[in-house]
Amino acid sequence: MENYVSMDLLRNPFYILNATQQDSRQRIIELAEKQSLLSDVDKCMAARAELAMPRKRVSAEVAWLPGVNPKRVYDILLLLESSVGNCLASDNTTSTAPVDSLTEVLVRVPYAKKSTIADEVLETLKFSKGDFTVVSEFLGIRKLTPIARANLIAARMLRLPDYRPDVVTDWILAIVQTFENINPSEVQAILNVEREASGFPAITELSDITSEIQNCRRYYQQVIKFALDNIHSAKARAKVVMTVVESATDSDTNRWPILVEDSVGAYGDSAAAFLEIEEKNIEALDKKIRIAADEETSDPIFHSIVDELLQTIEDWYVMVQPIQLSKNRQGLRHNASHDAADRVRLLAIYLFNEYDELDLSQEILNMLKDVFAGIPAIAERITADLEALNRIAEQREQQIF
Amino acid sequence: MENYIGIDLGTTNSAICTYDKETLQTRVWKSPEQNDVTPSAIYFDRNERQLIGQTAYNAVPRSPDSCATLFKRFMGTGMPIELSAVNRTLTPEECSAEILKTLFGYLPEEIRNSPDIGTVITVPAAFDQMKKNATLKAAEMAGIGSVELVQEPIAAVLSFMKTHQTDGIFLIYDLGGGTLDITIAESIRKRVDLLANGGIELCGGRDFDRALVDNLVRPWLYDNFDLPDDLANNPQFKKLLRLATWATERAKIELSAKNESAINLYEDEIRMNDLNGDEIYLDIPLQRDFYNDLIADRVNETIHAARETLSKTGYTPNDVECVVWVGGPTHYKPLRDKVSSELGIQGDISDVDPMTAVAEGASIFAGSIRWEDEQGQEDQEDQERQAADIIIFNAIDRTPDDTSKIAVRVEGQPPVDYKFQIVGLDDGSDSGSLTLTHGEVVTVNLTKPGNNTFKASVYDATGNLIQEDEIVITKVDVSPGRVPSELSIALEVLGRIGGEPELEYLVTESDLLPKNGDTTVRAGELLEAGSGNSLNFKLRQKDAMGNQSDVGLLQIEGTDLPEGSSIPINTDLKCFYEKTLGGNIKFSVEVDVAGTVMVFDDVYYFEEGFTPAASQVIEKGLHIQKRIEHIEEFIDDDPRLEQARRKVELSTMLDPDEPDMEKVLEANQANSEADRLLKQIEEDPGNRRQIRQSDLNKAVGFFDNYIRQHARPAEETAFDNLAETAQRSIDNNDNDFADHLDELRGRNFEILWRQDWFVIEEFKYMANLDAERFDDSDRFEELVHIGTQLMEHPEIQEILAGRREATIRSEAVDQLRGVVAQIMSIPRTGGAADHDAMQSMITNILAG
Repeated sequence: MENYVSMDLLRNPFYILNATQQDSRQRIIELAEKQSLLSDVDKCMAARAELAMPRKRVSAEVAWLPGVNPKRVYDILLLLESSVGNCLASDNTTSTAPVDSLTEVLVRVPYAKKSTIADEVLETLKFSKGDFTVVSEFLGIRKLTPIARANLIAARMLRLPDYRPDVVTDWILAIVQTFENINPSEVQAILNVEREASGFPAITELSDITSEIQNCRRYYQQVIKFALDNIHSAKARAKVVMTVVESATDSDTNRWPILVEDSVGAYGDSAAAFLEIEEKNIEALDKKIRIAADEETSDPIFHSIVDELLQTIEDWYVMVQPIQLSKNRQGLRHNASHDAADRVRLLAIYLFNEYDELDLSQEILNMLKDVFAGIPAIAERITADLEALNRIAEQREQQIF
Repeated sequence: MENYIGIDLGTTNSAICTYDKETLQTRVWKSPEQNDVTPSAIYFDRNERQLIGQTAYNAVPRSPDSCATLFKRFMGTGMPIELSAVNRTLTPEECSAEILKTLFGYLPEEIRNSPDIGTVITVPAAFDQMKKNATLKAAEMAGIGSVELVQEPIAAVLSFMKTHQTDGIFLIYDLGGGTLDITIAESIRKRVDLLANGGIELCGGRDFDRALVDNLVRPWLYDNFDLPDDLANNPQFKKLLRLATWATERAKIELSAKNESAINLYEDEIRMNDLNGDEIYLDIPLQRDFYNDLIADRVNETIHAARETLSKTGYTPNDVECVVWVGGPTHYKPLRDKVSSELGIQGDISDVDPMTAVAEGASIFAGSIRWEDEQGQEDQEDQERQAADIIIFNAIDRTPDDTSKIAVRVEGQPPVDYKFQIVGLDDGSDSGSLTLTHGEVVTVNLTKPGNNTFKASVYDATGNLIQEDEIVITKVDVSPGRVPSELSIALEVLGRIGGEPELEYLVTESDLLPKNGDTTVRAGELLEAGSGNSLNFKLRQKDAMGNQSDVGLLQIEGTDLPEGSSIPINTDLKCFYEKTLGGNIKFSVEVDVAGTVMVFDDVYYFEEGFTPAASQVIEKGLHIQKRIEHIEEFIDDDPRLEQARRKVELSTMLDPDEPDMEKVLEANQANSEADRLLKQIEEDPGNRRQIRQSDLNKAVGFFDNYIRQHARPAEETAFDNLAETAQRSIDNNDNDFADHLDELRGRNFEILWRQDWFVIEEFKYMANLDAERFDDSDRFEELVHIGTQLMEHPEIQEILAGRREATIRSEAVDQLRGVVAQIMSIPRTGGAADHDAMQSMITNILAG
């Protein structure tokens, strides 16, 4: 769990010290000393070290809420803290958020009501900018910068009250699109305005910002994996990822937003164990069919095992499709697909060579052709096999007539 | 602790200092010759009597084979120190132990014999784990009890801050005999934080001496005497160069105080004739201008290193208060002036002695840290108290301030109407009765140096005493913030199954020590009980120069698991790690096996680093030279390229049979330095993109020009897609570009490998390689023999003569292909078996 949330807003050094982007170095040291007497000393000292050094500070700044008025930052964090889904409640329980209207509202209302308000406001984050009115009204924030919005979405995705597939799909799409809008130069300009107020030297190298944005990207990928892992059905997870791929990519240009690629990568890790089981099933059924053929098992039983294999491959394909698509688009080899295709292709050839099961071999190869249509290297070989079998079938027909 | 001792265990000189916590004073203990520093030299005389320090140092030019010097450079390398004249072999640790014992001998008996001593020994910032372990071992051999290590720059800063009252940012320029350390430190109210470390491993006074000998002394000798060309290696004249180096160093030191000096040695000091029988002497005038020109390039390198270190912090020279000078060569004023003016930062003019600052700082450090035995006792008391209480009084327990803070922490619901009171037991100060609430902070006065004791009492609503705690706050002279780690420690993991190994950092450079934590990774493959497989946790270190090496290995083996159990793929593996203040690493793994939590902590730590053979150093140098040429294709105006070229010359010009291991080690370090410079150039964002783009264009161009015609349609599509992915990786500045590039090159190779002509050419190339480069040279020669016979086969002869259709399969080529593949698979580790065994161990741990 810790790995997922290392860049979470509620673990950010600013949050740990109750500091704002505009606090001076001296103020940060004072805050750290005070906080370290009341909460985890190591965390406070590490947060101080990070915020007090101009170069190291960039990572905390980019992972925070750039461009948001410091007075409003803690309103937003209060929403996160108050969320129903906040199973990741920070161990820094001494929040001293500035008191204003929202804080008072949330502090006064009963817990259940408070959670509902928080969830309602946060829910609007996943919609496009135009539907941002609820947050605007509540927080007095007219606009969130894309980087702040992405960080907030990520924090929210770690605390969803409900990880239904459709909900997770919407959130993944929201973070994918928001990330596409992050502009490093804009982030640099915003941070430098904040640095002027705090007295820290300006960030002069744009590469410092771009590299931190890439770190955020890796964090978002972990967040996406966290959300996917919370969907209990493996098939539903695959469907979510396929929907994301189909909705966020441009089929004409074959252009994938980078976080879509990352989402599939995250899914691949999350599905690895399941896919391995399915691949072992395919292996076992392959052996079973060969033994059944060798032992001349009765037709109905034999065919039922073959049907089971075909069904298993189709189920496996549903799961593996997003990974296949992504690998193919990147020009990378998907070893599991090659292994599975080779195994079943050789089975079809075996059944034909040894037992003259022409129809069955054709049926298996046709199914494989559909499943591996997206992988030209495999599809080419299966097509060649099918052509050979079709030629034999034609020759036989000609001999009959 | 009653006694705090700091030891600067230097490469050329060492020093010892004590710190008095009550008076806040340091004292450097002098050698019998009344010098503050003692040369780190050991000499065995004709009667095999052991002499240490100045006497030993003076004996070096005349009896080099009876003396041990510069052994610190070999700490942790396993390299023996041979004293052939007295037929003795010592380890570098034994030598260091002798120096430590000698230094301890300078202390008064009451300190020396006290059981209550905390000793801090300094180590260079660039010391890796193996070298640190070796230093601790030397301390143990010397019989020193409680020992902590501290980086030399940190000690230097503390010494400076002790006398310097101004808050601000400081650049510490520590130029020793062999190394430059740059440290950026910040002081706020006598609290010292180290912001960044940097430096150059091979740059110091010895390099200046060498430059003088090569450019002034040697030419003068050849002008005035008849001497052989191979002066350095000629056994008859080796002693002459050693004496000349010694005299040069003496003259150079004199130059710190005067505008000119002379390198002098009389005939009766040298006692040697030239080839004509003339008596050799030295009388060479040395002027500052000449010397300044000679060392200008080196000094510029140090200025560049200082700028680079400062840039790590994000501060500019305008933000820096002054440069603090440490180390012998900084005595030379023209050097200080140049560094100062080039950096645009004024030099320190306080009275910190560059020769003893490190030892003094080490003793201050000893007085300002919590020693493990104190810590253990206090932690236990804290735990007992906290377990019993819901009210905890927390304080900043070590501070240089005149005041400190005590905070009230209430676990759970605060009791109603409770009061508390804090009384100073030393001065009778009283906070009065205060309402007990969580987060209440009381400021207390610290009236004396050392321990100040307070009593905190809690009363209920009716005034009954509920709880009473004693709080000790130590007022120290200077308080080091926690110490930043000089090395990154990482666990090697896979980003995804089938992906390339990457590093998950546990401690990164400049993380504050001590640091502990945990991280959860996952099993990348199934581990079944009884199987011969293992889950491999490889710990690696990365230094400030970007060099990586192995630190240790923890394995969970199939045989470790209870019968019938397994660790399935994706199982969470919780890793606990700690890097102590002195830089030691502890690592363990916790995993749920069939409902039982098992802990594995049997880490194998490498005790000795790997010292390569001269031939390997040369090969590495040549490889770096190729990289320099590659980078030069598109970057030609970067001065670092010239620096790297100069450094790598040390290894490319090395004799493959060089017997002097110091030279081999130096050349190896020079390779690391050059490698670091190239990495810097490559990592420069603009350059990185340019270099990557050029590499990609080359791979794609090669495919288009030579491979596409042989590729299948699916291979063409896949290559084009991968090239696009690699392009995107460049655009996004992703770390996976190198993987994609390797894959693209691999695809090119895969297609070529199918071509018969390629296999034949590949064999021809391999057959001409030197068999000694292969670990199993017999096997290599056997395979070359088989291949040579196959080359005579008619099918291959037809191909070579261009008389065979490419589409007709040749069995002889297939066999030759097998031979080439086997040659490729013979390892070429060059003896680094231990570490290579770790490298060949599969990484099968997935990132969390």
